[in-house]
Amino acid sequence: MVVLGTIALSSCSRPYLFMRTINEEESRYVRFQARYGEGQDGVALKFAHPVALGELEWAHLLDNIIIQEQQKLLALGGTRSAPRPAFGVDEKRYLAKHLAEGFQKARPDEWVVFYLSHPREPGVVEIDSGGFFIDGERLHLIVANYRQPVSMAFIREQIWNDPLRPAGDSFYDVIPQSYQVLQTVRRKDLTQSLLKQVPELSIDYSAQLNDDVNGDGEAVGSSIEDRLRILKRLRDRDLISEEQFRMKQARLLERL
Amino acid sequence: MAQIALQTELPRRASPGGATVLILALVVLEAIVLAAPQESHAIPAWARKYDADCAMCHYPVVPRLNSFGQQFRRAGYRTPSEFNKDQDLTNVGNFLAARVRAQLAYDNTKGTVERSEFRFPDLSLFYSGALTRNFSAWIHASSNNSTSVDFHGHVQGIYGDSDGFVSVRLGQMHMLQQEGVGGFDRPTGISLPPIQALTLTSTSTLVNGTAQAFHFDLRQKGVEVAYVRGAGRLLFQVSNGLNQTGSGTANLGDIDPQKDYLVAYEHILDEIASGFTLFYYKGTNHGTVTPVLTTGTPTSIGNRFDFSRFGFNLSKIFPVGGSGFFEIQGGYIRSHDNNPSAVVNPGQLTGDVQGNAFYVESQQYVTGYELTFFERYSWIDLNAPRPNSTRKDYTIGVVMPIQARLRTTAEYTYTDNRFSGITGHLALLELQANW
Repeated sequence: MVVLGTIALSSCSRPYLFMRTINEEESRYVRFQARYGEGQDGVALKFAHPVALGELEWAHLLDNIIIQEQQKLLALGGTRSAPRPAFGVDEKRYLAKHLAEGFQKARPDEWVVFYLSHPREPGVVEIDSGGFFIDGERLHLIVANYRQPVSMAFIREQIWNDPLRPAGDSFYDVIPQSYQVLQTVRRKDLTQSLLKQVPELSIDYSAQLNDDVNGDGEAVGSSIEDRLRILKRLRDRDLISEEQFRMKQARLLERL
Repeated sequence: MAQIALQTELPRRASPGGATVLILALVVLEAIVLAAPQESHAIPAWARKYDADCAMCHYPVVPRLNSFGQQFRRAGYRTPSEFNKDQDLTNVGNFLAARVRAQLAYDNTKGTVERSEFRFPDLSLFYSGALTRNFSAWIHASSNNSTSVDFHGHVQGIYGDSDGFVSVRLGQMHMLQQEGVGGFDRPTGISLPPIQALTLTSTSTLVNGTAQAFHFDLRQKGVEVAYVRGAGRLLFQVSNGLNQTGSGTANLGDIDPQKDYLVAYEHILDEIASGFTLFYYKGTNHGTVTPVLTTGTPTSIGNRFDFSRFGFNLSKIFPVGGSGFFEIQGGYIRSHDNNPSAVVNPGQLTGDVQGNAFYVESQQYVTGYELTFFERYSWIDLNAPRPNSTRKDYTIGVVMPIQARLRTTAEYTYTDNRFSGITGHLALLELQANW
């Protein structure tokens, strides 16, 4: 009775996760996700969606997501690797393209989730999964799984169906950069996972993009032409004033 | 929610006082551990080495292995891509691990004093892993409630590739129980199935009676040769067998030329933890040794007899919608002791003792809450032709991983031993830490 009751409760009390595909391939996807049903306290989540950020801007934001391998217990003789961008070139290109597309179409109650997998060795895949949403002036990134090795298909399916569900403990720390704040929370409003905490990065994305435009170019690796395009989009969306636009445009043009 | 489920699983047959203490302790423990901050740096050795969560090798909870973990163990603690490759030995943290199990026990056995106590059944250090292209080693130092420390370990050689290889293990080790599949793996709960952990035959104590000391939960000294191909493993073992203390290892070790033999075949049925094992064990038991095995060399052995065990174990896991998994598990062991002084019925010597034993267990893993419930029935007939020679054990429990390196378990067992005329209740609440 107890067992059956617990299983029934675990099934019935869960919300229904509604998903729409932005892009889906065999080993990765970017989707919209929304949550309906029990467990949301009757309050619909409301985000500042849609948002028109271009592929280039997303690439810049993704470049600034930095991770570092955790310091391990008993690491006698071991060395800790240096901080590095969380996403490789191909992952960044894929995410930037489809995040740009997705956030232009996202409804206020939808967030954008992703799932990326890579074979690690026979019988094991590494999975990255998480979600983005924009709340007010800040972009939020939830990193539910990062380079998480998974050997059992049912866990892969769980993450595929609920990419904000952490499959286990992470072995990497998200290292907050300028304009970023890191918090660790149990995201019961966004995921069906009940026990695990996940890192959530809150980014002042306008300030970060603005700063990247003013920067020396090394961090974002883009050309002056790219930066001018970003600058124009920031002005067009009223994220910077006309005066700021002209000042920064002039500064960039001086470099030519 | 978790606390409600756990409370209702507590022993109902225990006395009200004991049950109340356990309920309160359980609720307090759960509240403490659920409210505790997330620890993210205490990682057992191989999880550290491979940057992997426990779930890569374990299901439903540590220490029980899933299929990938089983293959990792079979291969001498190496992944498929590490066959015939040199190993990096520089990071000690990739080899060193520790385990502590702490229990609150309530024991109410007929004929003994009712009691509750804190127990520390296991403090362990491990130093183990793949050492070279072909060799690996396992060292385990453990201590229980006593002050003595037990060291044991083995060296293993692997020849072949991940598709098919030969394994040779030499040392002191668990020969089948805790090393096999289909129910011979380490338990989800606290206790092992009684048919694997207890003796399976017993003669009457009236005339020259000898309790058969053999059971499958022994660490014996010996050698194992196994051939692994895909999901299957065929193994053959030769071990010292039993001495008077039952382990084949105490003090003087093997005290005669006789060796014990085990042949088994085990097969993994899926990527979770389903599988089966078929086995046959033939050994020799020594009833009395002169002088008593403390010092010196024995000069005579008395009441020596042959015995055999054969049977099977099986586990099968079924998904239940998106809510979790249901597992059915069980095993049967047929025992035969060719004991010339055995008494089947009082006053009747026959030379043979037949034993039968089986268990069935079901487990339910609930995703989201990550709870695993288990219920087990074990039946052992210690001396088949003799009346009132059975022992029955009923066990229920629940286990939940709290954080990455912690799990908590509540387990209750009611024992009805007709052979000894003793019944008993045992409730355990355990916290296990691995790091």
